[in-house]
Amino acid sequence: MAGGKARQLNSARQAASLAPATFPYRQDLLEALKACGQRGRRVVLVGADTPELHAAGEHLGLEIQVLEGGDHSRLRDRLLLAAPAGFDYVAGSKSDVGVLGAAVEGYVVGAPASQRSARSALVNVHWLTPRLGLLPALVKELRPHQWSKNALLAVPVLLAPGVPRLDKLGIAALAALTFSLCASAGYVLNDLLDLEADRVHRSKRHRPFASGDLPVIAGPPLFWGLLFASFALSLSFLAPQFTVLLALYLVGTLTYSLYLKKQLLVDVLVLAALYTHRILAGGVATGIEVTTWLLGFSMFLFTSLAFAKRYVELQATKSEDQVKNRGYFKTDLQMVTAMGTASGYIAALVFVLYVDTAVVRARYREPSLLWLMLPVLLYWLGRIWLLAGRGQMQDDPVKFAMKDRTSLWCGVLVVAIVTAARFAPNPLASLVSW
Amino acid sequence: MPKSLSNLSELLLEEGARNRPLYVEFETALLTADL
Repeated sequence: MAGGKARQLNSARQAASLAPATFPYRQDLLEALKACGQRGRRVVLVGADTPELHAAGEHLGLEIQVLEGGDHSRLRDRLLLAAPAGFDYVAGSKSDVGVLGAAVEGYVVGAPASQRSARSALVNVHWLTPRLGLLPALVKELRPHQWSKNALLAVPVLLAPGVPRLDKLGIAALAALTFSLCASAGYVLNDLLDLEADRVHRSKRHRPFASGDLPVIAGPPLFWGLLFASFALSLSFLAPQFTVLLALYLVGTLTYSLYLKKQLLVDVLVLAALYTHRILAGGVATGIEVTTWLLGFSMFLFTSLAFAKRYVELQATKSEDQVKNRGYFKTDLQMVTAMGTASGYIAALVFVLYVDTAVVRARYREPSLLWLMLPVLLYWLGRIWLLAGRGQMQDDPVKFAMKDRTSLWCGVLVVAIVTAARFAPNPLASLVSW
Repeated sequence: MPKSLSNLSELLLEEGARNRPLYVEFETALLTADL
């Protein structure tokens, strides 16, 4: 008995050095327990006598019940004795049936369907399904909506002279797939490294690893599997130079996630460079030369959009302190706006200068039609910045544009203008020639 | 019939349940992974 007390005291002492806020709590259950506490329901944590149990109890403001020697049968008797009017019990998937059966209401979390059917005799037990199944959680972790950015790898094929060739489009699609798998590997690694910080973050705690929808143990094999698939595809089917660019993309994206995103201005330039890198890689994969005009246009355009992304984050910040994990302060809003809008308009300038080059005259039947893109570009960029300023764009601008109807119509107009400029019949071209 | 974890608050705060103590297994139910 004295030994038990000494052990408990030791556990409590060790608990002081733990960080219970970062434990991998089942968030839905935790929120429900907090609601119980607020409404006056008595909640008791049950477990082996560990420092973690003591730390969690203290952190959450909950009573604890130590389970001596992991003996569930004694626990059932003790609970029946302590609560003669009955008790409710929340168990995990591998828990003892005896305690659950003795409860007035039992709840089991995280149990697979096979276990539910095997224990169907427990009529007082509620089987609670997690928010996401394993497959949807896996898909969520890979963030496929981010893959749309890799459509940039097809830009060189679409801008090449003549009708876009299907074989080249196929190579560009494969190249985009390797970039997508590589990007997903980066998200997995990032989430594994940020696990503890994500668990206490307002929105990131819902990410699959942080929320427990995906077991953390699956993380490393998932990361290596995605990376292997990406590089195996590249080495098997694409040019060796492309694999070098793929490796550089991996280094760039990981360095950005781990370090560069916190550096003033460098973060924006790296983001823009990663977008431009995709276009360059698309050119290398398909063997199509990418002009410096296109690369310059891309750098300025994506620098503007990267600044817009920072603008949205800064605007949402209430504190005057430095934004967490960023190199900016709220007072930088005006300069971020100036640099962002200037970059956007320089992109438009690069575009109009490009329209008058020999490259365009060689590739387009009626290059002057391309001038029609200028107002579309100026309108779209101006609108993005105005909506950001009004607080009507909460997303990353690229993500926002994918869902925004007006942006999509602008995209349709651009495609129509490029198509017309390339294949325009002479009478139409003569209408806009000057 | 399995129920969603997101409705757990309602289940745990049903009339009649509030007066009973609620015991929660720490490692197997409240945590999603080993510490």
